[in-house]
Amino acid sequence: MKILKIYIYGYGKLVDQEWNLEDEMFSLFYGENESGKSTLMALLFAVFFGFPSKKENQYIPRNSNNYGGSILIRDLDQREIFIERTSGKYQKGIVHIQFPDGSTGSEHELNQLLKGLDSNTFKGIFHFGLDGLQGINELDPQHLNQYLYDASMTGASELAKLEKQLELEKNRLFKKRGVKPEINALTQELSELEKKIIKWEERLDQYECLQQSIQVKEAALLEQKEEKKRIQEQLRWLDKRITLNPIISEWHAYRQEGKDEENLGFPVDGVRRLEGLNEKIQEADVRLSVEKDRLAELTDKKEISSKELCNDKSIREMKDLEKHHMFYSNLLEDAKSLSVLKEELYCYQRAIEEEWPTIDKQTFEKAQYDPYMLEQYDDMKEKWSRLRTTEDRLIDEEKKKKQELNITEQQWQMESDSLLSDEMLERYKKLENNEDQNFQEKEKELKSEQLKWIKEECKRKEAIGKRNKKLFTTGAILTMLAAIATTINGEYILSVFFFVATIPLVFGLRKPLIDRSLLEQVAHLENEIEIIQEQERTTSINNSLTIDVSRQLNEHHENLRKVNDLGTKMLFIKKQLEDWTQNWMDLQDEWRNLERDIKEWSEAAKLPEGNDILFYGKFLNSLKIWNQKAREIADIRKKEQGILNQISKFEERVMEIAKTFSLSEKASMPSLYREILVILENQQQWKETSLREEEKLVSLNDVISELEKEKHLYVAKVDSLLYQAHVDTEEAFREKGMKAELYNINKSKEKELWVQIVTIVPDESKRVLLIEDIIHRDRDDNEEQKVLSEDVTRIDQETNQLHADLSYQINELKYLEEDGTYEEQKQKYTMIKQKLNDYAKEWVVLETGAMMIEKVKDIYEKERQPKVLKKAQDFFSRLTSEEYTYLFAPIGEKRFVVERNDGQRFEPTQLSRGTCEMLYLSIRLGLALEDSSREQFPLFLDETFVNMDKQRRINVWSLLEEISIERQIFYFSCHEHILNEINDYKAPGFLQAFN
Amino acid sequence: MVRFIHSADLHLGRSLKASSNMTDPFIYMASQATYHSFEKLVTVAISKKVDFFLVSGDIYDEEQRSIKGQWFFRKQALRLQKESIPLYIIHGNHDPLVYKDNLISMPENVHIFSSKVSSMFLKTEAKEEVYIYGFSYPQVAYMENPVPLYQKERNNEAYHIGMLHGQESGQLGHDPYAPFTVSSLLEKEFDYWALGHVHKREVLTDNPPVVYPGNVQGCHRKESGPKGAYLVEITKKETSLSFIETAPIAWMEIRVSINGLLTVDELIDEVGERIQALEDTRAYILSLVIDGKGKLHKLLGNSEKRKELFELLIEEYSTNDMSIEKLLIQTKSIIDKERWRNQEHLIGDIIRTNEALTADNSEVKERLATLYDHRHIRNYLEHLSDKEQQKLAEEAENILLTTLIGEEEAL
Repeated sequence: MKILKIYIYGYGKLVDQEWNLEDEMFSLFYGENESGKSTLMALLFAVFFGFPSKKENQYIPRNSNNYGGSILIRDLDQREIFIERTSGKYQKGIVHIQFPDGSTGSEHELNQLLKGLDSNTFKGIFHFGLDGLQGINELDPQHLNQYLYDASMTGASELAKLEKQLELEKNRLFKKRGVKPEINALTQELSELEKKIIKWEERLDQYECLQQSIQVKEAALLEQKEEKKRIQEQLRWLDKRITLNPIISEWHAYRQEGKDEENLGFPVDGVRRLEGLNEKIQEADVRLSVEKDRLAELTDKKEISSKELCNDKSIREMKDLEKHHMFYSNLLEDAKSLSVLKEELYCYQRAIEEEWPTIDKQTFEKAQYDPYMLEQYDDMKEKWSRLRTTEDRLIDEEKKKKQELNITEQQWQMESDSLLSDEMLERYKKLENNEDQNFQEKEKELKSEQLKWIKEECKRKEAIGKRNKKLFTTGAILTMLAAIATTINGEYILSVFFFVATIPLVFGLRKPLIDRSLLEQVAHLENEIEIIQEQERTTSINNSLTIDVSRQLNEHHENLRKVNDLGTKMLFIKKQLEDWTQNWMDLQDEWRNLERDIKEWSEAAKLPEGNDILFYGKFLNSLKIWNQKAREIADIRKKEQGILNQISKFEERVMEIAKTFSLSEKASMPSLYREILVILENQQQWKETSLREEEKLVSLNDVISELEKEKHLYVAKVDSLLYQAHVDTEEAFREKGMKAELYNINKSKEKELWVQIVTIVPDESKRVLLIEDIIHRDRDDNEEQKVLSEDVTRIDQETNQLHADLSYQINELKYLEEDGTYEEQKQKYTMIKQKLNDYAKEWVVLETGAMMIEKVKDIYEKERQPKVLKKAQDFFSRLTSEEYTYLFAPIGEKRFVVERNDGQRFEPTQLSRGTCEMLYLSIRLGLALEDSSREQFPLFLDETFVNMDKQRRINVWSLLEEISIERQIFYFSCHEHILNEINDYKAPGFLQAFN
Repeated sequence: MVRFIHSADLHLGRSLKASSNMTDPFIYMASQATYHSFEKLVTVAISKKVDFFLVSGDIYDEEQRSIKGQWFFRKQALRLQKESIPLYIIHGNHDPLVYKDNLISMPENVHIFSSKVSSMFLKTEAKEEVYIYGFSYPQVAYMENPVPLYQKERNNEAYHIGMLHGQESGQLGHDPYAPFTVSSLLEKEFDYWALGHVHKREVLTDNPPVVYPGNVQGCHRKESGPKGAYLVEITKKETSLSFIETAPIAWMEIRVSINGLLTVDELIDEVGERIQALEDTRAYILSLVIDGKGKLHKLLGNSEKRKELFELLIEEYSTNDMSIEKLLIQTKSIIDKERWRNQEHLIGDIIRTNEALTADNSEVKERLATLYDHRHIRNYLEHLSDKEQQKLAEEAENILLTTLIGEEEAL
């Protein structure tokens, strides 16, 4: 490919510029710095590979809206193709290709033209910058080989950079023997964590063992508790044994001693008992003699006193008299009081008799006073009262009826008069409404008459009331007196009767004198009269007024009806009067019958005759009291007689006794009685003394007998004691007693000790064992106690240890169950492992990438490098004026070796820097020219050789001149000496200057 | 009606497989997450007054070491016992009967099925009769089909509930223990099949319900989303399944595309917006996946830049409730490999080299053995599958190409 023309529409500072390179193959673009060389170079790149990105210098023209440019190229097929790149939708711009046959194309066609060449490869192969050579100078020998080697490869620098980067990242992640790289570090961390987890798991594995261990320890604890309990039991046993040892030993000794003397056969407390009995026998003898003396003395005394005593009958009589004397005195008092009472009753009788002067005492005595007679009297009295009431009622009735008849007649007459005459009636009927004033007057008169009558009636009623009141008062007083008298006499039934009779009489007193209805009638009539008078006044005032005829007529009819009613009423009253006359006659008959009955009754009762019923009532009351008193007097007389009889009986007995004791019969009854009492007293004293002596005698005899019995008993006891002790004499008894006493002392001590033993060991079986243990075994208790105490201490220590272990293990168990550390660590472990695997994969990517790079390099070395190296060797030989004739890469080694014309071989590091530069240039040119697959792109050299020495540069120019025959070369420089050299050399380069 | 909790795969004490970009409180929370999830489930069981509580295997993660697990399980069982709620348990491949499960004695309300299929009878408070069937793994690997051993009791009035810890033939990604088919379960005419073993929640059939409740706490990136158990209410006519989320931590993948994004700041903001949109009812372990095509691809291809971005994201968004566990760059290179493949130069060489290495990876494996066979490190590294290796190789190729070719030229 050859670039024939370059057009710049606008790119950086270059606007609308054109270069025609059609006739030249080596073009030198000379100009000062900032003159546009780089811009031109950039444009060429841009046309082929697109405008640069925003991050890079985009060369957007300031002075033009046109952006981009075009080139005209001639390809290997000698086609002249126009390629234009302008701004467009994409950052890289739009490419437009115009083929000579008129067809056009875009990116795709451009890519085909470039045969897939990318910008990096293009730069790596066809662009020779100053950096490449300078790089050699800056490199250390170690990397020089690699650098030169990479220079022989397409895209080598990017690949190398990438390879380095991958290497770095790989190293960051993993080194085979590293510690710090991520994977190594994580592995270390994981390993440590794993150890921790394993430890944890070991701990967890111990769980079951722990459980078992805890169970074992708990069982051991229980066992130790039992063991301790057992030893403590033994210790307590030992304590008891130590305590009881002296006691039981002593007890045992006494017991053994006691066994030999068990058959001694001496009575308990024998000697003392014998002494006591002997003392008692002596005492009994002394008392016996004393009592016998006293008996003799008393017998004498008794004989003397028995002579003084009289017989028992007299004394009994005197005692009886004394007993009845109080009764006698009472009888005397009673007789006296009865006499007084009798006299009082006589006085009372006499007073009653004096109330009735007309009647003698015999009448009182003869008169019969019995219930039958009283009943008859009551019947008659009742009848009398009834007749009297009837009579009063009939008299009143007669008067009332007559008066009523009279008034009714008057009313009838008045009403008849007030009737209108036939003539008037006729006239009124005509006139109607005419009133007769006279009627009012008549009515008034009639009413006044009626009022007058009623007032009279009131007066009469008042008179009757007053009389009745007097009668009731008298009756009430009498009945009340009768009631009191009967009460005093004790005749309570009668008194109740009288009281009951008083009550209606009292009520009669309270009755008003005038009937209330009469008073009301008076008030009513007075009121009517007043109304009539008022009417009269009204009538007189209105006399002049027209008479109400119709009212008069109505009144007439009303009056007529009243006249008729009054007539009927009159007839009825007359009939009633006739009935009254008959009743009156009947009453008179009954009066006569009653009088006859009273007479007959008084004769039968032997009462004074011819008196009225009220007389008899009063007399009967007096008679009743009189008779009562008479009965009382008779009773008193009877009682008085009984008392007098008893008094005389008592006095007779006194006299009899007095006679027995020869007392004076003339003496008064009280003095006699007093003397008898003195005698009785003396006899009683004697009697008592005699009795006492008798008793004493008996008791003395008893005492003596008892004492004798007692003495015999004591003697018998002494004998019994001797018998019990199997001895005959008291002396032998005493001797044997001494021995027995000693035995008893031992026995009581043994008992005392036994009580102590039983108190300390109440359980019998244990006690037996303990006694057996103490008596029969011989061992050191203190030593045993010490051993047991040590055992307890040991068990305590072991128990404490067990508790501590158990507590630790239980806590551990709980920790294993509840603690979340294990899970947390496992979680961390899983996470780190995951991260490790992620890093590993990352490393795999890097490693695979690195491997790919190596592979690609291998391919290059095997397939392409040989051709490149052949070219490079030619160039290197020419550039070094054939000093170095041979260049090769040993198989499998990533390095070059050069051979000098003397056959000596050198590593690039052994060459001078200048030679190295030549080597680099040769390799680059070899690579660029060997790339036969490409479209023989022009070479772009940018100040590439500016630092090279002149000789070498001349060699280069010579080489380039040769190359430029077939390959277009662009050289960019700002250095004048380069310009001069090229001009001097007269190279066929064409100067393209920038202004 | 019978009401119960169907849970499985508690894996008490299991660690969460996250990388170490967590705060200390988050690490603690993660280490306790399985416990908390189960505790919450028990609380729900009590509040809902269930008739019983089922655990279909894998209560503990590492039976021999699960002392805390057993202790904790006992504590929860005691809570249920107070409310008279019985627990029915089968052991699975992670906690088979062969291990010591009697280190800590369980209360009386815990009924553990033996290694032979058997049934247990229960009468609920509402006088409903229930037969629960099940068996525990006698050893870790139980490969036989246990379904024929389930024999339904002759009581049609009662409810029949089967517990089984095993692998349904259609399920992938788990060890094929106690394999069975859904149709074989349906033949048993049970009212409910309470399954366990598969950690992903799934209802295999509705009538009768054959259910995997999933595990109670997601333990790695693949066990994402809400986790818990089912509250089941069952009558002879219908069954209601309510999922109860109890896991305190959810694994979550957030994908952010670089399409149209020009700067790293924009990318960080975009990630932030997605994080803000998450519900705050639980804690999260996030995997950030950056995909799409765009300007940021080259930048993200740079491992330094990638690392820097990851650190920035952690600094910006990591809290005690939020952990960014992984940053996966899946942005597409816009390099047209076909265009470059046959070119006689470096890029073509790289593409061809990668293809050759993929075709025969023995050489690569040999190289990687430096790390993967390192005597101190190998025990901590997970096996690298060919597929993974290939993926990583592509990543390496991508880095090389992106570095060597400018994006601009590549178009």
